[in-house]
Amino acid sequence: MTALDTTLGMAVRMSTPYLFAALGGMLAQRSGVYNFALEGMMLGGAYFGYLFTLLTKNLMMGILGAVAFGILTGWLLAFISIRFGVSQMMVGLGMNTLYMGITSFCSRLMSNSQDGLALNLDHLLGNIAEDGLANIPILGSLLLKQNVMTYLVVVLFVLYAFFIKRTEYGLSLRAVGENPAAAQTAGINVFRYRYLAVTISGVLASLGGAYLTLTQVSRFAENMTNGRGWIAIAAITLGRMSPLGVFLSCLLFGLASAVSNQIQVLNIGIPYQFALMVPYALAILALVSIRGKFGHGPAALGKPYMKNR
Amino acid sequence: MHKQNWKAFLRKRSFLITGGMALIAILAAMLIGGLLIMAIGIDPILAYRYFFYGAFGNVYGLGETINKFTPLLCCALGFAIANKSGFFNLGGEGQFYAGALFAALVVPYVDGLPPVLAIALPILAGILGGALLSAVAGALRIFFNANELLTTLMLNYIMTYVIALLVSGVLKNPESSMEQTTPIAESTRLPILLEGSRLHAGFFIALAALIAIWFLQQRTTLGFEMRLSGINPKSARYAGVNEKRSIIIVILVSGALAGLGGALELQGNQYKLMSGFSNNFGFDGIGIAVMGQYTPLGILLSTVLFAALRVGTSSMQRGVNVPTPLLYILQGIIIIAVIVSNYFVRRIKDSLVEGRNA
Repeated sequence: MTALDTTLGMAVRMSTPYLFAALGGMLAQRSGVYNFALEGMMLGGAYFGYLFTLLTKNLMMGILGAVAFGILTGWLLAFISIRFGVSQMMVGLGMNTLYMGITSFCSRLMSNSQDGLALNLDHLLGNIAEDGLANIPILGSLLLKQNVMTYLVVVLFVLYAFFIKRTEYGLSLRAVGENPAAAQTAGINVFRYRYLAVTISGVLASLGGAYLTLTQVSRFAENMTNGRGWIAIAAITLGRMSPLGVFLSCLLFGLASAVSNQIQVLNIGIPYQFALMVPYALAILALVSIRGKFGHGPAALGKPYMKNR
Repeated sequence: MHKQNWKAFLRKRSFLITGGMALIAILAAMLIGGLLIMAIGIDPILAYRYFFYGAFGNVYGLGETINKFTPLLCCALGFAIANKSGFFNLGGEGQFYAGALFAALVVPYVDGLPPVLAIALPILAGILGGALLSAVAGALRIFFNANELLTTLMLNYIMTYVIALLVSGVLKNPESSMEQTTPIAESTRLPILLEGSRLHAGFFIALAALIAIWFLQQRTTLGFEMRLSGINPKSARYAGVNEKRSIIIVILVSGALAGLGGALELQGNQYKLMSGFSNNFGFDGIGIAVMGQYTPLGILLSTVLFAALRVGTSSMQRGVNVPTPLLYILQGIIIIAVIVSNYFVRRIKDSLVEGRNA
């Protein structure tokens, strides 16, 4: 195992949460609604995925728990943003605060009363392969020493790209984001599309968070998402909302996170705090590099659409 | 006839509707909080008694509440003034740190100067520090059109690590095992105002900032231009407003206010810089501004609430062991409820106007 091998394998692992969250954020934005609660939703998914696995000693239940949380929180965001037509940014910020509170509150309750808080390693998602083909240099680390969630999110990206570009429903979703009034006139149920898109975005963000506790660290730490939801939004912006662009942006941020991690592990004389800054600094560079060209975002993004108006 | 009078009364005093809704939001949050406390097997009545006693019930607690009020007000003003001009400064947290850092850097050089200077110069440095950091985001927006919402957020994380790096390295107190700076000299500390409490004079500085911002926005041409640039940049340009200049001033003032908060917190309350120094002050400022509907009175009252929530929840923790993150649960519920209530406020106002036509 070379350092390059390790870094590349880690880059794919660390980009997986970004991929989930960015896919969710992108789907919501396509429908015309900003999901600024990605950060909090990831945190909630990380906690509830962990909690359900801990309680049931069953990984599937943990993932289902994260999905259930995602449906609830996604629907709540949809309900507040769509039904009341209020500031989508502020709702997102409020939800982030709320989920930071709920997850930290519950996790402190548990650590007061329980000792063994790390999940049993048997309950975590394992890699597809560890030996044999997985020992092929670079490709083995990149493709095989990964778990099923990474494959899932890649498949979901392909499905999303197909859906948005090649299907009638995808076209309708884009119409809803571009011009809801016209879409409504054409017989498309704007509200149904938006509710569905935002709810699914909650599930995806929650799964991205669950990936952290169910594969990488085996326990929950307060505020452990540490800005990943915001970086996912930066990745959506950098990728200009095209499926391939956002996918590659997420890989780039994953690579940055892996490099950050490797600098810390290899101890090459750079203070670890500098290493920790890498993904955030890259996000700023990314925003600077595109010079604010949001040309591919839908026209009605962020604008509430109310009935009877 | 009677009903018409009542409607006319409310129409002229729409702040009553907004205030009433905010009160409902607070009560709802407290109720949910109470149920949550009950669910974890703690007596909610007893917990809330600790809450109110801790935040208001004694001189010491009152001092603590006001000491939290001070930095929160600065951060809220910083967010509010920028938001009104269309600059989404989510970087209060980082700018708060920058302010505290600059103040801490100046402190060793002013010890021994006349008392007023020893206190004022670090504060001015803090103001500069906050303004510089928001100027970074401002420059990225003006020159590169980079979305400030994300750049300010990213700068928050970077600033947190800068502080962590400094307090464990060059700024570390050699006499302490903890990663923190040497406590600032006595002469640079803000005076304590009230015997038996830790209430410091930064309170008056924060209030002065509130009044100054109100005056700037409502009574000066510059303030008018700033607001106009935010509401409608095109018409501002048409009216001969140099909207580039006014947005630059807004960006600087916004960061300066958060930086002021950081300096006051350092010189009045904590005296030393460390990781976790800010403890979310910058983000709370956003919630306060939202809840206060960006008006001076609203922000003032919301800051009192958020300060009391902080002190009250930690008193609950000490008294009956309720985990302190309850604070963020309450804040989150309040923010969401207030935002939703804006919808109903608008509906009620609309119906009042319709009542006049009928």
